[in-house]
Amino acid sequence: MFAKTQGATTLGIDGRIIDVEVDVSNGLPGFELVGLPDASVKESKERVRTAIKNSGIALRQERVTVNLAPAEVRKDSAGLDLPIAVGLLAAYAVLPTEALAKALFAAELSLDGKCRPVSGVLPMAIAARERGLTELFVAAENADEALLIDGVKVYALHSLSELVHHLTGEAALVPAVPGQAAERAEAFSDDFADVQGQFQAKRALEIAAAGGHNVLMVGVPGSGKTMLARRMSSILPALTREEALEVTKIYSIAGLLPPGGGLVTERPFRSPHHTASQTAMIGGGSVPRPGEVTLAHHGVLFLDELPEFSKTTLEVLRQPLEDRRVTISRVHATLTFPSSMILVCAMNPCPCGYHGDATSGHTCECSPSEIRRYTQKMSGPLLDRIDIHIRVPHVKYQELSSRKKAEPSAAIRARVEKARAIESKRLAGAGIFCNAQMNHAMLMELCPVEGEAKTMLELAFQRLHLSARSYDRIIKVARTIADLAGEAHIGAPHIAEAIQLRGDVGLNVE
Amino acid sequence: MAGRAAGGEKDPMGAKELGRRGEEAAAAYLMRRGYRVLERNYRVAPGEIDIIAEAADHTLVFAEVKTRRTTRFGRPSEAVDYRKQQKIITCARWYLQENRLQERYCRFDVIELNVHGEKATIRHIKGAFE
Repeated sequence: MFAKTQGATTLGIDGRIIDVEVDVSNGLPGFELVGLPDASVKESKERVRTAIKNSGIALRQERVTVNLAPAEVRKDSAGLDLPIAVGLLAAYAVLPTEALAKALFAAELSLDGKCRPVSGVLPMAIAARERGLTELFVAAENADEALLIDGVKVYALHSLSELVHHLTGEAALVPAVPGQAAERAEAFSDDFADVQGQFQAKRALEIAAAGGHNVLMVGVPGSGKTMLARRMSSILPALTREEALEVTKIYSIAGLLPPGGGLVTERPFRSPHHTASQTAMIGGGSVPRPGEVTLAHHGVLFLDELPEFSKTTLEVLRQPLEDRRVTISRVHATLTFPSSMILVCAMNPCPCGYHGDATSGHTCECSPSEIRRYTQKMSGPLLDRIDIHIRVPHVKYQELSSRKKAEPSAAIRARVEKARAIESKRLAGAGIFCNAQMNHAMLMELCPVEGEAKTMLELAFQRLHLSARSYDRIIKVARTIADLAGEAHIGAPHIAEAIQLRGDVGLNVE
Repeated sequence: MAGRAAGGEKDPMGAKELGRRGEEAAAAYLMRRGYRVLERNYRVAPGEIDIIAEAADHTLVFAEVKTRRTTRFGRPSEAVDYRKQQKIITCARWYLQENRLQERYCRFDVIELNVHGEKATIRHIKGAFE
């Protein structure tokens, strides 16, 4: 007998529905699995048969052929165990075939017939809905994730026998309902209230958050660069529902969702170690998997000790920063991952860390050539993509010992959200949502610089020998500063502050 | 393979003889259980099948019989390795072709006998491989 059911696998950050066709016929007994199965899927044969046996169902040995379609897609999800088992049972007439037409099955089976969670359930659920499937059968641990999609019934399974009883009508399961986990109050453990002093740096991060600008912080060791950066995500506006779904999709595929976790509601903060490889950074593998830039999508990618990263790792950041997505080509697939993040970098001004900072009491012992080698690691094109460059000075004792709490993140975030609202209103037609994403043409059209501001910009341009690119950058940052102030036009003070924020931090920019 | 192993002059009963008697006992066992034995020592070019029988529900059973006096070298059924399985499957194909039985249900069994003196314990593994 023949039976057909649906499973799913993931490709990039999207789910892909796989038709599982099972045929059982007379002749020499055997089990043939075709349709480009990966090793983990090939092995499902043993898991499926043992799980069925241990669920108390005896099947006579016959000639079994399982086909996974479409044939050209590589199937690498252990979640295909369940659809294969269900298809097999239907082909043996244990299950009615009509019950399978509108259902998607995704779970790994254990030898005793229990259902195990798999990664990528959210994108699979999305694909299922697009295909018009109405019922989703997943492991109980994956139910919350599948429930993020409206319009499909989700069944949380503990075992195969439970599913068999449901499909045969012996003991119907009740569709799962969203648990309490879905709406979690966000509580950031890191708050700007803990950072004493560093007003200029905080202001710069506020501007960066408001306009989506990338930031580079240069400062002596212990000045609080890392501490500041870690608090960046606490001042970013809350994720919208669409953004949250996108982030959850990525984390689902990467297998990084916390157990039983539903929607990711906090903006991601990724802080890869400086030994990270090129592949770890942008993604890769024979079937490409997301890298750090994608895991930081809609959040913050923080590179601490920037010059310690290998040059190639840093250079691959250029495309994702520019295009807000990254395309990875490998033998088995060419995939595009989103990578719309704010890059925050921190570095010391020189190898010993104390160059150009007299207040800390240390003197720099590095030779000019050492310093040059250190700072040259970052190429001009990379630094060009970082709108805001600031120096983070040594903290003064009076500031540090102050008992007064600094401004909390929530207050800063309120201002950031207000500015973002103004920005998205202005940029609505362009399909982007923050100032940093504007290109030159948009800048010319949407951000006119007039009067006093224009005079000031002209002056700065000539005095500081600015390039065309930094000219654009200054206007972009000035626009964000004006938005934070709630002003419709870019004024001279905004331009002045923007010029400061791309100030000379001792690097070889322009 | 029982026939080729050990044996020698010291052995009062040769391995070959042991194997033959084991197959005898296995066939008798199957018949007691309601099987109809169709072939004994079905021999074709690629190899041999010890017993071909038909079960009450008309399933064709291809049985390999393994007899041992001692489990010192592992259980008898362990000797039916992948190569031996493939050989039996090829022979089974041959048989099905010859008798135009391709559409019948089939099964591959291993029957192991552990001999203790004059007595033997029989273990019938149904659907041992495919």
